[in-house]
Amino acid sequence: MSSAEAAVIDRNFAGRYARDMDKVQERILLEQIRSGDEAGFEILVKQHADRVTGLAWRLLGHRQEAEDIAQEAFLRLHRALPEFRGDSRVSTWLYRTVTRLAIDFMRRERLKRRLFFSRRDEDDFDPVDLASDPRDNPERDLNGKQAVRRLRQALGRLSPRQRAIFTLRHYEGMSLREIAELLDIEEGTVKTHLHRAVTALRSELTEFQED
Amino acid sequence: MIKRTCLNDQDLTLLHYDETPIGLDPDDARRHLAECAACRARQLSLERVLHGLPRLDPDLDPHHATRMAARVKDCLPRRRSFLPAMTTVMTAAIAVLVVTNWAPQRQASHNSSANQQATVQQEMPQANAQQKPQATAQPETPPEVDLLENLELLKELDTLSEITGV
Repeated sequence: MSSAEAAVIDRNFAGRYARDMDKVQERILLEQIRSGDEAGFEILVKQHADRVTGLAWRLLGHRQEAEDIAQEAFLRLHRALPEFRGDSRVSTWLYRTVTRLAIDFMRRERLKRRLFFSRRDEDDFDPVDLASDPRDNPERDLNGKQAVRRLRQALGRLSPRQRAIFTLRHYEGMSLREIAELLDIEEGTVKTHLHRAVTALRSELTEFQED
Repeated sequence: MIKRTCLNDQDLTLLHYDETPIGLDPDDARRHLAECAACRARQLSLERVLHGLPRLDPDLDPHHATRMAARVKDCLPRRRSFLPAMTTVMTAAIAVLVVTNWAPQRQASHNSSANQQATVQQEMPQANAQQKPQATAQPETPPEVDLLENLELLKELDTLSEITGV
């Protein structure tokens, strides 16, 4: 047994894992979890919680909904662990699940708006986004918040898939090949969606031009 | 393959994100971009908008991960442990066997003692007249005592106790 494996197995080191677990450590942790180690699953959640919630928030724009999506993704992971083969990393699996959940959520919200003439979406912002930070320059803060609001409005008018693809490429830095695998669609389709998203955003956000 | 016509908007978008334009060699596309002022101007306009987009930082507090872990844990199905239930069942079974094996023997011994005392009392009725007969202090034997006196049944109960180890 390598020292890395021993460190992972030793429960005393549970709180001192490296921020990013390597593949070997992750494999060992998954084995422990499958053997009934619930504390190991808690460690796994802590490892990925920030990134998963951050992705959901970028996709949806609302903190509470993002946390609900993140929670659901972790619960699905827990259910899927017995059959989790480990071909992909846990982070990849989580990203895929969160993105699909978010797209489904956006589609349902769109349908509700069309059916019930609800105005909830780009006009309904996360109060956390609008809260001012006393450390910021008020004028700069206001401009920043307004810019985010405008961006959210524009993103809200994209189709759920375009919005997801643009967010994953522009804000998460994933390659289009990775996005295609994540969404289980052709890379050419991803390229087309990205282009349409950028075209739509450019037409709406002409004021956002880097000086 | 060098594209003889200018790059379209999709090509420029993909090049901006370091992706390969559809149907083009990325090196050829970049070479064209370097040589074509019109495409360079369009590319610059695109980049200014995309670079100017505001950041979307979730701004999570340092305890978010811990809270999420607790939240997920609360939603997980409770693991059913069968060990306590099994222990309880076995304890109850053992208790039943102990009682069923011990009680008949106790009843039998009480009845035997009671019979003996009754016989003595009959032989010495006067001597025990002032004394409270001990037989009456004994609890009334249930009607099933006749059955429990059945030696065959007692043997079966003994065998059962041997099997269960009680």
